[in-house]
Formats: sequence, C-alpha cells, structure tokens
Amino acid sequence: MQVSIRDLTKVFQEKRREIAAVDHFSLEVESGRLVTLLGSSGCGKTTILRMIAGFETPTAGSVSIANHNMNGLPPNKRPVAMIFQSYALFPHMSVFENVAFGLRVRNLPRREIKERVEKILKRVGLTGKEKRAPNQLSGGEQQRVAVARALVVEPEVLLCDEPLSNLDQSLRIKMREEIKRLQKELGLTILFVTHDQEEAFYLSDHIVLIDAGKIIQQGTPKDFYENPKSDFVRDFLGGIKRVDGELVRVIAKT
Amino acid sequence: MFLTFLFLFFFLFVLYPLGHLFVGFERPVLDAQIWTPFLNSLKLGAVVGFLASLFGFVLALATTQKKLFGRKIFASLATLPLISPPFVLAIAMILLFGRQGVITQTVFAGTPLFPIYGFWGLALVEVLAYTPTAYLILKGVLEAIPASMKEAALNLGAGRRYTFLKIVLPLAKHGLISSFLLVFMESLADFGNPLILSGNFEVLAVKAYMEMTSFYNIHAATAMALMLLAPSLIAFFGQRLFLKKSVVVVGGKSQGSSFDWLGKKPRRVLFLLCSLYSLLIILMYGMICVGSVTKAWGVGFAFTLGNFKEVWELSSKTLFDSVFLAFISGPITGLLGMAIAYLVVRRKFLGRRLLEAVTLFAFAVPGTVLGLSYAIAFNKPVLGLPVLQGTWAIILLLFVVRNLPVGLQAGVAVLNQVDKSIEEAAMNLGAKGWGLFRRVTLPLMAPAFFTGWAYSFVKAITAISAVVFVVSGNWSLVTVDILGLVENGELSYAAALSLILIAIVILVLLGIKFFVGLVSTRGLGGALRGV
Ligand SMILES: Nc1ncnc2c1ncn2[C@@H]1O[C@H](COP(=O)(O)OP(=O)(O)O)[C@@H](O)[C@H]1O
Ligand SMILES: [Mg+2]
Repeated sequence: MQVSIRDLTKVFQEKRREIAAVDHFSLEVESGRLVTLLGSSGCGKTTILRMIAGFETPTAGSVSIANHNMNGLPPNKRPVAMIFQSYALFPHMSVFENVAFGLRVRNLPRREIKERVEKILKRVGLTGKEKRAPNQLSGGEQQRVAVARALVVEPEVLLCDEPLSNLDQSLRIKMREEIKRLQKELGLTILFVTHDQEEAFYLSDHIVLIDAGKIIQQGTPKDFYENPKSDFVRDFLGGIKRVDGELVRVIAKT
Repeated sequence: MFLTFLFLFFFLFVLYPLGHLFVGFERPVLDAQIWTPFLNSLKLGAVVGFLASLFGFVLALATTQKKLFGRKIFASLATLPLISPPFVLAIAMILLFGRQGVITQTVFAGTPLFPIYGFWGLALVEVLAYTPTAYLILKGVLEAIPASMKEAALNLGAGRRYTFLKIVLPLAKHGLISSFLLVFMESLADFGNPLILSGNFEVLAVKAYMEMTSFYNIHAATAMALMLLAPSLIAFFGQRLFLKKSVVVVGGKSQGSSFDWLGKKPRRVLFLLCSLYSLLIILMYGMICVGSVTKAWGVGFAFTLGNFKEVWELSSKTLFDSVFLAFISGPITGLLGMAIAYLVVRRKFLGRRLLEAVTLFAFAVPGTVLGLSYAIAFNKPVLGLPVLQGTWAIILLLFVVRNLPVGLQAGVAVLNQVDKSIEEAAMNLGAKGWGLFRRVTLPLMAPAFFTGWAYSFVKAITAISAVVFVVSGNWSLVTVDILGLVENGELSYAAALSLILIAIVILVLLGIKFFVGLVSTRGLGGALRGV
C-alpha cells in the first residue's frame, strides 16, 4: 500500500474542552489512485492531511507511506508534498525559484534543477512565465505554480487541501480536468480534500465521506449512487432522491 | 470649508514655522563646530537603529512563538519603555553605573564599569528606549507572514534553519529596514537622553538647544536644526518607500496554525535572550523605584518616602498641566486624524495626496526642529492671533501636530478594513455628507479614535524634544521638571517624579481601556507601522 492510515485520532484541547477533530480514521490508498476526503467544513479533513504531512502530532494511530512508518518524523523528512488551500507561494521568489525551492533544498546540481523545473513548468503550461512574481499571475496560474512546485520533488503522495476553492466556477472545472489528466499521465497518488461532492465524483477513484472526524461511507462514486448507506449520505450527495410512501397500486394502461 | 480650515491649519502650524528656519540660515555657520555633532548624531542613530532593530527582531520572533514560555510577560516588558519618557532610562543608567551608581559602588568599588557619559552610555540607553518601536513594527511584520509559508517550505524538504534564512528573513527584510530607519529618526530627534548622558559626545539636537537658549544664537541654532531635518526627511521617505515595496502575499486567506516551525533548541535560545533583556528592563525600572525612596542619592543611601512629598510640592502644578494638556490633545488628535483619514480614503478631491503628505510630514520633522521653529515663529503675533509663545495653546498645538500622523494612520487602517458597501447602503437610505460621516462612519472608526487618543496621550505626556522650546514660567511640563532635577543632580527627586508620571500614564491607559475595551498594543503597533 502506498498510504496506510490506522486509527488516526486527533483530539484538540480548546479552553478545557476536548474536540475530537479526527476519530479513529483508517484508510488504505493504492499507488496511482486518487482518493477524495469529502465532508462539510469542520469535519476534520484538513487535520487529517496535516497529520500526514507532519504538521500535527496524532493523539493516537499511525500513518505509513510506501511502507515506512511516519510517526515522529519531522515534516521536512516526509516524502509527501502538499498543495495548500491558499497556495502558499513564496511572494519574494519568481515562478522559477518557487518551483526550484524543493530541489535547491536537496542540493541538486544546477543543470538538473533547471531541466526539471522547465520540464514541469511545461507540463502545467507555464513556459515563458518563469520570471514572473506570484502577484503578477492570475489565480489559475498561481494554482499551477503550486501544483508544479509540489510535483517537481516527485513525492510519494500528493496532498491537496481544497486546492480549487479559491477559483471561480469555470476555472475550477478546467483545473480539475487538468489535475485528473496529470494524475493519469504521471501515475500520481493523490489524497484530495474537498467539500464539493461534484468535484469529488468527477475526480475520484475512491471517495471517503467524513462527518465529525469519522468515516461515514467509502467506496467508488458508483457505490455511492447505487448504495447510499444512510439518509445522511443521501442528503450530502443531494442528487439521489428517495421517495417515501407505500406502493398502493399500479395502473396499467392498455 | 473644513478642507480650507485643514490646509490653513497645516500651513500655519507646520510650514509657516518651519519656513523661519530657512530665513535665518547663513552659509558661514557651517563650520567644524557643526560637522562634529552632525556626524555624531548620524553615527549614534545608525548604531542605535541597528541594535534596536536586532533586539526588536529577537523579541518579536520570541513573542510570536505560541509555545514560548512567558511570551506574554516578555511582550509587556518589551513595550514598557513606551509609556515612560525615554530619558527615564538615562536616569536609571546613572543610578546603576554612574560614579555613585549601585553597581559601581558595590561590584566595582567606585570605578565606573564603562564611561556612561558619552557614546556608549548614550547608545545603550537609546537602544533600550527605542527597541519597543522596532519590536512593534517587527511583530506586525512577522505576524503577517502566513504560517502556511513556513509549512510549505518544510513540506518541500527545507530544514528549520533554511526556512528561517530563505523564507522568514527575506519576508521580514523590508520591515527590518523600515524599523532601522524609524529608530534612526527617533535617535536623531532624541533630546532628553543626550542632554543627560552625552558628555563630550555632542549631538545636534542638544547643541541646537544650547545655541538657542544659552547663547541666543538663532543663526547657529537654525543651521543645526536644518542639518537635523535633512537626514530625518531622507530616512522618513526612504522608510515609506520600503514599506510600499514590501512583498505582497498572494492567494486566498490561510488559517492560523499552531505548528511550531522553529523547534525546541532555537526556542530555548530565544527564551534565554528574552529573559536577559527583560531582566535588564526590570533592573532599570527597579532602579527608578529604589532611587525614588532613597534619601539624596549618593549620600548614604538612606530609605525615605519624603521624596514623593517634596516633588509633589515642587511639581504638582506642572504635573496637572501635563496631564491636562496631554489628555485633551487626545480627542483632538483622534478626531482630526479620523476626519483627515476619511477625506483621504473616501473622498476624491484635488489635493487629497497633498493633505496626506502634509499631515505625515510633521512626523518626519524631528521634535527639536519643530519646537525650535515654533519658538522663533510664534514669538510675535501671526495673522492677528495673539503671541502664542508662553501660552498653553502652543504646547497643545505641538502635541496635536506631532501626533496627528499616527491618528491619521490609525484612521486609514480602519477605513481600509471597513467595507465601503456599508457606507453605500447608508447612502442609499438617504444619509449623506456630514450626517453619513457622523452616524455611520464615525462609529465604525471608534476603535481607531480611541487608539489615537491613547497614543497621543502617552506620546504627549512623555514628550520632551519639541516642547522644551516652548515651555514658560506659566506653562511648563513635568518632563521638563524631571530633566531640570537631573541636571541639578537631584536624582532621587527625578526618580520619584518619573515614577509618579509612569503611574499616572498607566492609570489613564487602564481607564481608557476599561471604558472602551478597544485600545490594544496591536492597534498601536499597526499605527506605528503605517507611519
Ligand atoms: N489547531 C487547532 N486547535 C483547536 N481546534 C482545531 C485546530 N485545528 C482544527 N481544529 C478543530 O478541528 C475541527 C476540524 O477542523 P479541520 O480539520 O480544519 O476541518 P475541515 O478541514 O474539514 O474544514 C474543527 O472543529 C476545528 O475547529
Ligand atoms: Mg479545511
């Protein structure tokens, strides 16, 4: 398994009150799959990603990536890359330098850095914009830089925290198509967080529906449509209607 | 109408008096006599600017670490010097390290550890006095760096040191430069500390004062004032330029994060540094307390409470005058600042930028220079006004003009946050002009108003460099009294009076805070940063 999460739990202490943001969360993700964590705001999606990336210490449970246990490993030693909701582009660096950051950290030779950055910029369609500063880019272009910066370090898993939520509707649809295409072409393993069920259904091989830190149902998009396990799932998906009542009679027309 | 009044006000009370400096200017005055203090002032300003920014940065870095033990205490101690006249630290310095100083007498058997009268004593005291300025600016700068920025760096494999050097430091660079320039300006304009401590190390602000009041040499005094004005203006506009150029974070909002990016070891180092700094501050102000209950400093070190009684009898009138003038300067500054902010931000009219520039200009002019120009310009009737010199009005005017830029910035900051649509909604409902301002905009700006009030009060009651030129027998200020006591060697009295002043400032600030609950050091920091 590429990603294997066992009983991951996070309890936040807030003003003497305990909030179980993530509650015994377990998940297996195969290599090359795109798995979506779907749920409304505050259900714990970001916290799960942050524990995988190493920014939060789990209260209990474990995360392992490519068969290595991640517990106790600092964020900079983990083979994951994250695309932040706010992109978190470095404002004082050009597009090129932003993307090259992860490679410079690894002390790679200049030639290789240049080659790899140019290659990935071409993939995301940013060739010719290397010298721009992040604030000279449109929202969609900023998004692409964030994607390129994360992909260039060739992570075992790509973590995406609602990466499309800051884009307008038409751009959102375009970008999700591109992410899907990149994922297929490069065989990426992606954990994708969203609160938008349409996005989840379009992108995912596998959907995990979460509420209050717990898994409600998981499966392929098809499973969800054909066999929603509860009213909550139906409500959340919205599109699936259930008709209450009793079949009284069938009138056949001749 | 109001605009005409504003422009007339600035013309009369900023440009007109400053013009007098040029009238009296004569070239031959620029000799060696003036170059040495000029270079001294620059050197002092540069050293103090650098060190205070360094200290301020360390303190800001520490107090923005959520996991740092005692960060709240460090933060309050770091800003303590803001609420006392800067030269109180000079008094503490003498009480500690002077010839009769506690440490000199006990630890070093009567030989001062280092010459406190001169460059290094002065520099040390000014660093302590102006570190709060740097701290507030840099704290704001560090808080403005989103947590996700550091997390992204770590996520891409960067270590903590790399993240600090390549992300945090570059993003704080403009703040650091701007803090250096502002402290440089404050040091140039400082009057109280060099008057007490400069010894043979002459600086322009004090020299100009001496020329004016001791030798009645207006030519020399104005020449020195102009020499002081030039670098200060350059620093001020340089600082505004750097602030404008500072990098903009793009993308959506990011949530706060409790992630501790700095790590345990650096945090321990920060804790240690902050503890040392805080100890020094406690030692300094503790010394003021000790000095205030010691009978005639230097002669036997006997305990007494008599000092308070004595200084009360000597200075209760000036104390009341100070509190009164500083207190009423608050609402005037707050209201004017907000009104100008409103005009500058919300209204489109010719001369909008000019109005802003003229208001801010008063901040760029060192207090000594403005005070000197007032003393020359308002010594005679102007435009049918009676002679202002020697009245309470000239002191109040100086307070208002000096603090207006901060009031303006506080107002601008709030207006930029308040959604314009709220006002537009009110306009649709029929509110307009003054009514709109009073009913809708004013309440929204109330926090800025009270921040401006508190700031003006503190600044006014601790001010010395400008007002020292315009006080008189009838209207004097407590800061002038304290300086006089120090000059006469009455250190115990000076300490006692300083303590009373600090107590009053704290009481008034608590009062304002209690009634409004809106004044915070954050607001103060924002205002300082904006200017
Ligand atoms: N650092 C924190 N301290 C306290 N509570 C937190 C913290 N981070 C998240 N939470 C709480 O945990 C819950 C889940 O948050 P989050 O993972 O951000 O949800 P989502 O990303 O699904 O919107 C929320 O109730 C949130 O308030
Ligand atoms: Mg979230």
